[in-house]
Amino acid sequence: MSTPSSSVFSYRVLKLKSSDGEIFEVKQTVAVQSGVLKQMMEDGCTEGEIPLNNVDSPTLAKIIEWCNKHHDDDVEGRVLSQEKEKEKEKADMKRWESEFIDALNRDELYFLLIGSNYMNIKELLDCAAQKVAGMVKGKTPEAIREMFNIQSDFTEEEEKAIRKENQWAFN
Amino acid sequence: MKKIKVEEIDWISRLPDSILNYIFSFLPFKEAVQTCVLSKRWEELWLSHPVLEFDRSLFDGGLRDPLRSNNYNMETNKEYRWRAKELFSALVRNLRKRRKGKETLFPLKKLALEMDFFNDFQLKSLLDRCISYAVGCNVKELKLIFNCSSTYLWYNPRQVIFSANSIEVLELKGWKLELPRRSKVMLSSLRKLILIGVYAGDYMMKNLVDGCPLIETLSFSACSGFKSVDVSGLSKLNEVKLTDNHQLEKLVIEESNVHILSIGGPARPHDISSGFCRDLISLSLSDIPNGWISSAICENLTSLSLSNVSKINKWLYYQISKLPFLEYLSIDKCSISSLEISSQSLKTLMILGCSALVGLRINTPNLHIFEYRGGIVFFSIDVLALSKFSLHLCCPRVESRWYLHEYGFFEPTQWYIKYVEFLAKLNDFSDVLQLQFEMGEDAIVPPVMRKVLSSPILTDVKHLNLRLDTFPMCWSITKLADSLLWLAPHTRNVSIRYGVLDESTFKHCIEEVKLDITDEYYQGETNSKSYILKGVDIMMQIDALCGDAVF
Repeated sequence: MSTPSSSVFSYRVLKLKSSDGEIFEVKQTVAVQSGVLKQMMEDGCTEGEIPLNNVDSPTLAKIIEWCNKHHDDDVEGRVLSQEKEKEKEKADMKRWESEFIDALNRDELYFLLIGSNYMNIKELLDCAAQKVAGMVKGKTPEAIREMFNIQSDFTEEEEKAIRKENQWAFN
Repeated sequence: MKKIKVEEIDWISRLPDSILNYIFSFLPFKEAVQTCVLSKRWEELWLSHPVLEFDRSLFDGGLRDPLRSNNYNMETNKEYRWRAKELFSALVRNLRKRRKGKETLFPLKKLALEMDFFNDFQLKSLLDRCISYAVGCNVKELKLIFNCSSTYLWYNPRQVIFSANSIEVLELKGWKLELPRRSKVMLSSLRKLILIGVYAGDYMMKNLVDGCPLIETLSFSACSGFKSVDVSGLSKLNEVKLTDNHQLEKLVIEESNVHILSIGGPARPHDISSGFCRDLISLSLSDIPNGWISSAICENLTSLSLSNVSKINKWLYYQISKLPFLEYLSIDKCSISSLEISSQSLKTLMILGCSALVGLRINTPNLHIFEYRGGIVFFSIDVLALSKFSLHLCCPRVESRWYLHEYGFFEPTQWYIKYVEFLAKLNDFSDVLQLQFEMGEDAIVPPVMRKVLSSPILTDVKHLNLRLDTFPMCWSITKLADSLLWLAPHTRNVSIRYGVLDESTFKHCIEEVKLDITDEYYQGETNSKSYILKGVDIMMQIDALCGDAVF
C-alpha cells in the first residue's frame, strides 16, 4: 500500500472551485467529511482544481465553515477527556449547529441542502433536512402551502378525490 | 419573518425528489403522506417515497382503548376492519402506480406493516397484492408483523415472497409458511431473517435455510412446526438466535463462522464440535436442560449470559478460568448455591435473582460494573476500582414478614445487622452506589439499631442512588434521606427514584432541595412541577409537598 504517512496527509490541501469560479482551499483532513471528496482522495484524483458545478461560492463558504467546525484536530487528546467533558462538548456542538442552521435565510438553506447532498456530507444534510422537517411538522396542508408559497395545480375535484383516496392519513 | 412576500418563489417544491424524500424521513409517516394534496408535484413524491411504514397506531387510529391491555385484539371491531381495508387499498394503489408495465419507476426500499390480522377473504387478497407489487418494486426490506389471537388465522403468503431476489431483510410474525412440492426458496440477497411466532414444517425450514446462501443473521423465536435447523455450510452466517421454539430438538451448526449464538427453551445443539465453539464471541443460554454444555469450551468468548440454567457451579468456574477474553458475564436465575468467579479480563458482572445462592467469591481486578440482585450472601470481593455498583437487595416482603416474624424465621434486627455488614464490604470499591429495594421501608435502618451499629459505613461513597420498586406504604422521604445519609455521611448527592416522585436530590449539608414532581396519572400531557426549597424546616416542607402530590 502506498498511502502517504499521516503527517503529510493532514497538510495536503484541496482546491475546490465553486460554480461561479471562486477557488477555496481546504485541508484534506477537513474535506474527508464529504463522501464525494473522500472517494476522490482514495482514488487519487485530487490534483489541480476540483470543480463543484452545483455549489456556488456563498454556499461553499458555509459548507467549509461547517466542516472546519466539525473536524477533529486533536483526536487522541479527546479520548482521554472525561465523560462529562465529552457530553458538554456534544451539547456545545449541538447549540452551534442549531445556531448555524437557524441563521440561514431560505435561499441559503435551499442551496445548502442541494450542496450538502451533492457533496455527500451526511451530518450537514441531516441537520438541514431536520430544519425543513421542523418547519413542516404539525401543520395542515393549507398552512404548509402558505408557508412555502406552494401553488396548488389541482382542480377542486382533483383535490377532493386525492383527499378521499388518502382519507386515512387525515384523521 | 412571518410576512410572506407574494413574489417569493416556492423553493421547497424545487428540491430534488431524493432530498424531499430524505426530509420526509424526519416526519411522522402520516404527516409525510398528507403532503400529497399540496400539488401534483407532491402527489408524485408520495409515489416515490422509498419507505412505507404502516404501524399499529395507524391501523388502530385511536380505536384501541388505552386502559385495556396491549393484547386486546381488534379483530372483531367493525370500524377497525373497515379501516384496515382502507389502508391496504391505499397501499395497493400506491404500489401499483410505482410500476409501468415491467419497468419499476419508483423502487421501494422498505415496506413495514404491523397490525392485528383477521380472517377475511378481501383482506387476504389485498395483502397478496401488496406483497406481489412490493416484490415487483424490488423491495429490500420487508417487515410484516401480524398479531393473531389464534393459530388458524395464520396467513400463508404468496409464493412470490420466496423467490424475491431483492429482499435483504425479512421479518415475519404470525405467519404460516408452506411450500408446494417441487418448488424452492431462492432468496439470493437475504442477509437477515427474523421469524416470530411462525409455523413452518421441517421441509419448509430446510428449504428456507438452504435458499438463503448469503444469510448473516437468523433469529427464530416462539416458532413451531420444525424439529431441526441445519445451518452448516452457510459461510456468511454470523449470528444465530433460537428461543422458545417448542418443537425444536436439533441444531446442526458445523462448519460455520457463527460468532454470536443465543439459545433458549428446549433447543440444544445436536453436535457441538470444538472447532465451532472456537469461533464464538458471544454466547447466551437460557432454560437449557443441564448436561450438554459441559463438554464445550469456547475460548474466544467475550460475552457469556446464562439464564435459568441449573447445575453449573463447577462448569462455570472451570470454564471462566479458561476464557482469557471474557469481558461480560451475566448469571440470571440460575440455581447455584456458591459461586466463585476469577477472571483478569472481566469488566461487567451481573448476578441476578439466583435465589439459592449463599456464598459469592469474586476475584476480578479489572471489573468496572457490578450488578447484584438477590438476598444477602456471604460475600468476598477482590476488585480494584468499580465505576458503578448496583445492588438490588431482596428483603423478605412486608406481608410475609409478619408471618415469618410470628414463627420466628425472620428477625428484622438480624437482617439489618447483615445488611449493614454487607454494605460495609462495598465501601472501598466504588464512588457510585446504586441501591434498589422493593419497599422504601427496607432501606431505612431503624434509629434504635443505628446506636448499636458502628457508623459511618459508606465513608467513601460520593453518589448514592436509591431506587424503589413500589410505593412506600408509610410515606416519608425524610426518613429515607435520613437513613441514607447515616449510611453514607460524605456523599455529595443522594437521589431517590420511583414512580410518582421522579427524582429528588439531597445535598449532604441540605441547604437547598430541588424537587421535580411528575404526575403520571395525567395521560398525554406531562404535568411536571419543580420546587426549590430552603430554610430550617426543609424536611417538613418536603413532606408537605410530597404528601400533596401522592394523596
